[in-house]
Parts: sequence; structure tokens; C-alpha cells
Amino acid sequence: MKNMKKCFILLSSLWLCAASLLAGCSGKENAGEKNSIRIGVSLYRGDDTFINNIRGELEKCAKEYEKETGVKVNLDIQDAKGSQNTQNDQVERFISLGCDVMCINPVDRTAASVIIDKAMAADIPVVFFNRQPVEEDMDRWDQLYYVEAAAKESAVLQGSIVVDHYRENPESLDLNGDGVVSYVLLEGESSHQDALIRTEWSVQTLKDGGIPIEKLTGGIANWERSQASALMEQWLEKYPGQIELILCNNDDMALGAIDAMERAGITGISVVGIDGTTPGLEAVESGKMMGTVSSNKELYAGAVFGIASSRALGEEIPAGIELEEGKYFKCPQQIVVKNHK
Amino acid sequence: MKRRVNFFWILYGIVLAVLFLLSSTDLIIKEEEAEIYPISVIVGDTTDDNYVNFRKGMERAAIELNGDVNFITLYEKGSASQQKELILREQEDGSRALIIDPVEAGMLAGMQKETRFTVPVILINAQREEAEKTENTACITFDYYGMGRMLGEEIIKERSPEAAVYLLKDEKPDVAEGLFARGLGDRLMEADCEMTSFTLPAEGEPEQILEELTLGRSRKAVLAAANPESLLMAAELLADAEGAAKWVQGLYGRGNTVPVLNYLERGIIRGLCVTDDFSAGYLSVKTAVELAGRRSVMSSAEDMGYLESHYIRREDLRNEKYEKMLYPIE
Repeated sequence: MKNMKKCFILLSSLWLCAASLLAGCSGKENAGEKNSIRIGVSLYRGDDTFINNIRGELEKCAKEYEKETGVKVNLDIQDAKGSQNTQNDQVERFISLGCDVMCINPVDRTAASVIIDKAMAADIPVVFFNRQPVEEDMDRWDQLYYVEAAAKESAVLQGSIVVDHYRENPESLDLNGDGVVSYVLLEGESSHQDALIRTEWSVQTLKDGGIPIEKLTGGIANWERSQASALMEQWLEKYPGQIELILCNNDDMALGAIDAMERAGITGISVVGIDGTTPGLEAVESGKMMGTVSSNKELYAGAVFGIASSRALGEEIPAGIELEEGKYFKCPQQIVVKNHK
Repeated sequence: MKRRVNFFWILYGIVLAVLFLLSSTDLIIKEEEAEIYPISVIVGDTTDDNYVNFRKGMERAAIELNGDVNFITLYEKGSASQQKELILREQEDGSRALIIDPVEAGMLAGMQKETRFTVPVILINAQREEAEKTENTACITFDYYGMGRMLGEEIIKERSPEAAVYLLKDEKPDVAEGLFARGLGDRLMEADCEMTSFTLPAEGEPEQILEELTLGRSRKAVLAAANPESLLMAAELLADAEGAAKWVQGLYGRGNTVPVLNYLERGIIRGLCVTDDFSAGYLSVKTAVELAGRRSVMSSAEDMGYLESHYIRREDLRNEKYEKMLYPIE
């Protein structure tokens, strides 16, 4: 019996040791006042013009923040090149390098749970942007945030550019005077929620605005200029003299359509985009594009960075960043047409 | 019997505890911990636009060699004081090696008089002589002077004798630009060809700017850009100014960025000096990790050679060798 007691004590102390060791391994150091923060940023694709614009703004935000606060910012920006596996590896690397917070533009919004699992295990807050993880994932932890330019708003604004134009001068859209505006549609990735919403609400706004419309055709160009250009080239051959309006889910695809029109020597077709990228805004200014919907990129990137930096320092989210449900930030947008920015 | 059963259970418990310690902690079997080398890269620009392939090479090396690269740009382009501050800050913050693209020639040697570099320094886009003069320093660079001469050679071959050569330069030229311009100027001078320096205005009508260059279109001009930004600006001007081709005989320069290569493909740029930036980036991090790990001073300056540079034309873009170099896949 005595021996049993001894063994029990021995075993208990062994377990206690193990438990305390584990606690030591997983516990976080209590840092004093931080004078540097490390933010890992993973982009779904660095060659996407809109994302590239946001990247540039994030870098500006980091520099300004450093200057203002004296807190050093190590902004580690990585390009996932459209691969979720690469992005997952990048997230693991961010964690192993001791990032204080991660800003993730997911490749596949439905695969965000893997990233969330890793972040939760490492206790690192995540600011998602541009591609919204599914709601169930966002609700899993209170350290998850999402920044976006609301897709429905963009689409309604895009539709209203066309509606206003039609009301002012119907002939400029109904080129053949048949009383119907024939349009083609260039869509983003089918798996991206923004592509679906933008398509639906843009067309709906045209209908609500009383424009008689007819869809000639549509295609998925995956947000890419080159793919949109190739599709448009085919459509210009297939529907000669019939296309009067090109609705595009983003500016890159609108520019691709314009490229194809220029190659074919065709003018007069109205093109509308979304995003307000630098080349998109230039196309509007030069009259090549009827209009676009621009989100305020400074504000967009400012929100991503503001949330990230405050979380990294364990501070409250800045008062200027108003979050819906404590985690969603919707960036305001505006219509951009020539001479009316 | 009962004692034996008890003993068995205790043994079983101990085995479980040991297995737990083995699998969940590094108390018994220590997992080999890879040493990570924090490396700071401080360039003289405000953006990384001209470092895209260089960064790809750095990132590749960082993943393979456990480097942790922090790429830092300046708040103000070409500010030596800011670059010095950042160098000191990064050194104090625990960087194991510094990779520096110095904004001024001789800056590092000057800094050494006031402060001591406690970590190895790898100079990029600099003069080898500077690294040779500076302690604990290596140099991964291209022969910009030679590159300038190489371009001069091509211009002499291709230009018509009456055409004037204009060197398009930045208001604040960096080390590489200075060397390139000197090489180009020296080669043109040897051929009795005069070269006039010109800084393109940031704004203005393309036609008007080109009018100024071609003296109201009274003479033909060859444009040679000493840096990638001026080259891109000039290419944009030429693309927008219809009829300019009649007066501007050719646009040449140096640079590897995608927009610059696109203009070469469109035929707006006639010839281009290019460098293997991916390899330069890879080598700089590799050298940094090696020096940081060894904690030693670079053995000798003679180890430091120049990386290759090339002159390419539009038709060379589809050459496999250049394609791999200019569009590296990570």
C-alpha cells in the first residue's frame, strides 16, 4: 500500500511536470511597450491591378505610421499567385517568423478556415480583405476582421452610371436605334462572391432604371485584362455592329475589352468598369471608358492597416474605423465619369 | 499477484508519461532548431518598382536558407541621411546582416568613420572599390560603367551621324546611374560624339517636350536613359507623341521592369541593357546568411566579381536565356 502511494505521488509529479512544461511552451511572453510590429500580408495575386494599388497604399500607410508614432513596422508582403497551398505556406511562415498580425486576401474564400485554425492556434489576429470568408468562419473568433468595398453598392453605382447616361442621351447607348441596348458582360471568377453580386445588381439597376436591355452574351474572364481582351475579340466578330454596351465586373476587364476594340478599330461602344484602378481612371479621363466605380483606396488600405496595427499593439481599433458587428468594415465608393470625379 | 498487477499499471503509467514527454515536448528528444537570420535590405528608393526580380531572388534564398528579409524603402528618394538612420536602426534592432543599395558613392566608407558596423554589410548596385575600402563588407553588383560603355558602342553603330545624343537622367542620380552615365559618356566621347544631359519634366505635353529635345524638329535625336524611370517616361512620351519617330531616331536605356520590357516589345525602345536581378537578389541574401552565420569578416575583396549584364533588342525577348532571366519563375 505504501509503495502504491509512492508510485501515485511519482506519477502525479510526472504529470504535473509535463503540464507545466506544456504551459511554458504555449504561453506567450508578456511584452512591455512595443516599439516595433510585424505584419504579414498575403495577396491572392500580386498582378491584379486593384490589389496592387492596395498593396502600394498599405506600404504608404506603414511609412506614415512609422513617421508619426516612431513604431517600426515590418511589413512582409507575399504574393500567393493564385494558389491556396502557397498562401497556406505563407501563413505558416508568418507565424513561424513571429508576426503580430496577418492581413490576408484569400485565394479561396471557402478555404479560409485553414488559415483561421492556424491563426487561432498561434493567437494571431487576422484582417481579411477583398474576398470575404464565409460567415461561419468569420464567427469562429473575435480576432477576425474583414475589409471590403461592398459589392452590391459597386454594382448599383455602376448601373446608375449607365442609367444617367441613357437618360441624358439615349442615342449614345442605343447606337442602332432599335430601342434596345444590347450588352455583353465580362465577369470575374465564378467562385468570387463579388463577381456574382456585381453581375446581378448591375443588370438589375439597369432594369430598375427603365433601360430596355438585351444580353447578347457573357463570359468569365477571371478579372484579367488579357482574358477579357480575348473574349471581346471573339464577340466583336460574332456580333458585328450589335454590341452597344460592355458591363465589366472590374476595370482590368474593361481595359481588356477596350484593347480588343482598339485592335479591331471599333469605336462608340460604351464600357463601364468597377474598382477605380489607376489605369481605369486614366481610361475614363481619356474618354475610352464611360465610367467606373472607385473605392477610396487610401481609406481601404488605411482600414486594413489601422485594424492590423492596433491589434498588433493590443490597442483598441481607431475610432475612425467604424466596424459593423465589430468585425466588418465597408469602404465607401463613388462614381467616376469624365470631368466629374 | 495483486502486486504484479499494480506494478504493471504503474509501469504502464510511466510509459505513457514518457511517451507524452517524447511526443509533445522537446525535453528528451530535442528538435533541431533552425537558426533564422534576420536580414535588413535598405534601398535608396521610395518604392520597390525597380527591385521586383531582385526581391523574387531574395525571397527564394530566404526560404531556402532561413533568412528573414525585411525590405525597407526610404521616405524620400535619394536621402542619404534617412538611409544612414535606417542602417543604424536596423543594426541596433538585431539584424544579423545588412544589404544596402547606397544612395551615394562613398557613403558607407564615410559612415565607418563615425560608427562601427557590427554586422556584415552587403552592398548592391555599388562600386566594388567602396566595398574593398570598407570593413566587413561584400559587394554584389553589376559593372554599370561597363554597361554604359556597352550601350555607347551600340548607339555609335546604329545612329546616323547628324543625330544628337541626349542622356536622360534623374535630378538626383544614384551610384549605378552615375557610373552608367560616365561609361556611356566616355565611350561616346572616344567616338567624337557629343552627349547632352537632359532631365525629363514630370509633367508636360509629350509633343512639346520632344520639340524641345529636337530643337523644334530641326535635328534628329537619339535618347539614352541612364535609369529605368527616365526610360519609362521617355517611352511613354514617344508612345503618346504621334510622328515623333520621324525625329527621334531611337530610344535606348537600361532596366528590367515589365513596363520597360513591354515598350521594348512594342518597338518603342530600340535597345536595352538588362541585368540578372533575380540572381543578384539570391546571391545577396546567400552571402548575407553565410557571413552572418560565420560571424566573420569577408575574406578578401578579390572574391567579389561583377555579375553579367547584357544588351538586348526586341527579337531577344523570346530567346530562352533572356526569357528566364527577365521573367523568373519563383
